[in-house]
Amino acid sequence: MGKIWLIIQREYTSRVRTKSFIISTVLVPLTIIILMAASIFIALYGNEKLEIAVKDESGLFEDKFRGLDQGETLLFKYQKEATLDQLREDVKSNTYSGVLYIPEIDLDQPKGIKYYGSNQLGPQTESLISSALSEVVKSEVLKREGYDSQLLKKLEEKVSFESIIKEKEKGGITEVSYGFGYAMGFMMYMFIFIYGAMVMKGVAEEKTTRIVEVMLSSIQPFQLMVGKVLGIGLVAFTQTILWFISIIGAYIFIGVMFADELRQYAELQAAGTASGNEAAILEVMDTIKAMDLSRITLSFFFYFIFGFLFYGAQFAAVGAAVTDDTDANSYTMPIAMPIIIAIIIMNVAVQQPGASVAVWSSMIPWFSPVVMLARIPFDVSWTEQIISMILLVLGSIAMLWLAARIYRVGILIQGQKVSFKDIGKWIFSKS
Amino acid sequence: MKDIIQIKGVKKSFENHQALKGIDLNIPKGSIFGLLGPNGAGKTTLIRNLTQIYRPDSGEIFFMGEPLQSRHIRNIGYMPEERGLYKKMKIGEHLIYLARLKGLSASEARQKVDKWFNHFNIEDWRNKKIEDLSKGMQQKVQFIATILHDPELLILDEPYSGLDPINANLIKDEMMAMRDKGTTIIFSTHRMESVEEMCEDIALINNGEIILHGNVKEIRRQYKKNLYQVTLADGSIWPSQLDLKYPVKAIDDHSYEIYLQQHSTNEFLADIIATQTPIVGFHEILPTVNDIFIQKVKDSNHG
Repeated sequence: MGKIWLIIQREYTSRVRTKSFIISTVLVPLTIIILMAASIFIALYGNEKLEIAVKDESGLFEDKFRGLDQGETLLFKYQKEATLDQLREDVKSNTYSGVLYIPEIDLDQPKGIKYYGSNQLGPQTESLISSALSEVVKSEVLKREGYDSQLLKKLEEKVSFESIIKEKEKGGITEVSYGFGYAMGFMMYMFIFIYGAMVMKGVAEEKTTRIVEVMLSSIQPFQLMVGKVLGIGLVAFTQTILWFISIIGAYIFIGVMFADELRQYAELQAAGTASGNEAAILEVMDTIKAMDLSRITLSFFFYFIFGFLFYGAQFAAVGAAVTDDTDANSYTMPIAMPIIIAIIIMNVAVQQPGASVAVWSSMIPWFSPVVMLARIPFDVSWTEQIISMILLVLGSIAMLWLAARIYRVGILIQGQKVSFKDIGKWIFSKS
Repeated sequence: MKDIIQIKGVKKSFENHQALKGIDLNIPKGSIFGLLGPNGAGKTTLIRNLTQIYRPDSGEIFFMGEPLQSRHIRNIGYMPEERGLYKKMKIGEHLIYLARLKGLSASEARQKVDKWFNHFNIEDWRNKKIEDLSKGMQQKVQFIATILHDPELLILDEPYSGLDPINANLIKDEMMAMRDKGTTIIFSTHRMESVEEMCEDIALINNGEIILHGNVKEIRRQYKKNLYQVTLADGSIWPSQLDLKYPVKAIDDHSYEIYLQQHSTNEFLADIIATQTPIVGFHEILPTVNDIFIQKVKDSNHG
């Protein structure tokens, strides 16, 4: 065990100290933060200031545009006195960005509404105006037919329902669980590929630089292999945690430093869509609070560690078996296929966490690290999860054993082509 | 304890062939032992059994009288034929790492590394990466890595392969110095010149079997062919009247090889002195290890 620890240390420190690790660890959260900040600032300051005059011949739209103003960036001015021609002159002299002209309209055929502007309107502004117009027309039609104009509001009311799963009330919205599940499953998939390939490369390097025989005179092949897989797994783990911490930290930092901008941004967002957006945000927060975050976190770590052992062992075996890089691709196929299938199943699992393909594949060690992780935010039963965890632990042990048998022979083979048949023989050969 | 290693009936096979067919061999403590054999004879397989990279299929190996086991790793230093180092590691850290894998504590390892840096006067290499060193320098580091933990038994597989003459000499000198301090050295090679020069004992291995082993001097004596070399003074001619009695072959202008089977050396000397030929030298020609090697391998392949 002491020697495995030495190997883990070397594999870990030699990678964590490389420039590429430091750069990718800093760069990824930094990119996310910059994108986040940029989208806020562009939304706040990037938009052109639009001031639109409304010339309404029908008189139906008075007061209807007041609620549409968006802070400093979009303003509607209802003009009673000025004529259309005057206003069009104002547009030319840049007093207004444009004029919205509404003639006397026939409610059955509301036509003839025009916008005279110096620039094309953005699609968002266009749909904003058009939906405001149609709402007024609709309520006028209702009024004409003798209905209460409040009826429209009632008609548009969305009816939601509450889910009670296994007699437990489950609050919140499934989209949040979906997002969580998808993110975790996908992250697992990414790490298996990136860091699995790193294990394979590391093993192949030991073989080509021929240090391996020097090493094997001091330690057993199994120790070297497990030490490498664990050491690199730890690098992946470190990177995840650093990303996690730095993104959370950045959120807090931005939240404190740019509190004013954020408030404006929130107002902007709320004004942009239908009312009740704030309520939606609150509901998202409630859903996150309602989720068992400690279970999700611990499960993530568990599936991360054992999933990585399970797949890392396979990558190590391939690294030991191949003699040149071009071979490596064909040998990684049997490893890559199940991971890709797992991602396909995951797409089903986040939409129908109870689907039998999702349930069964979250028991199978090849898929469970990705599929089960994606399902956990939807409240998987503990019995299911424990069975899945036990199977994954057993699977990892079996895979390590199998990989070690390939590894111990393959690592000492130099310069000869290795076939799948050879690998099969190695597994069953005596030590 | 006279023998540091005792090998008893060791067999080892791989899928398609039997690499060792029952090896029995004792290696005396404190000597330089040559393990000879053509390529593919089983030398490296035998060595890998000694370094516990392989386990024998049957038979036993003893180290200092105890069955060979993992704690003996600490006492054995091994420089394989296929050797290398982690290219991206700093030399100081690399050496400490290898020493610790042998079982040294961190402080012991640091101390030993300091000692060898000092010994070879390469203190300024400590923070360089392996890949920044020349090939020759890497070889030196590789050798230090092998002996860093003061092994009682040093195993060098083809130590001179790929070595420049300066490092080859350096390693030879270090080997001698270590032998004088009591270290046993096993070294495998198919190059014979170095063997005669350095080894007290040898074993000759072919097709997975030991076909000859023992003290180098004794073996050479054992394989002698009663050939002697006579050197005459400049300008003198070989007395042809002796040709009938003693079969002779000219080596060069005034050296001759004679074959004495029924006659003693004294009888021959008396005869040649009687011819008044001026002699400046007379000595026995012993076969070189190379000759014996080639002879034995041929015999065993045909036999």
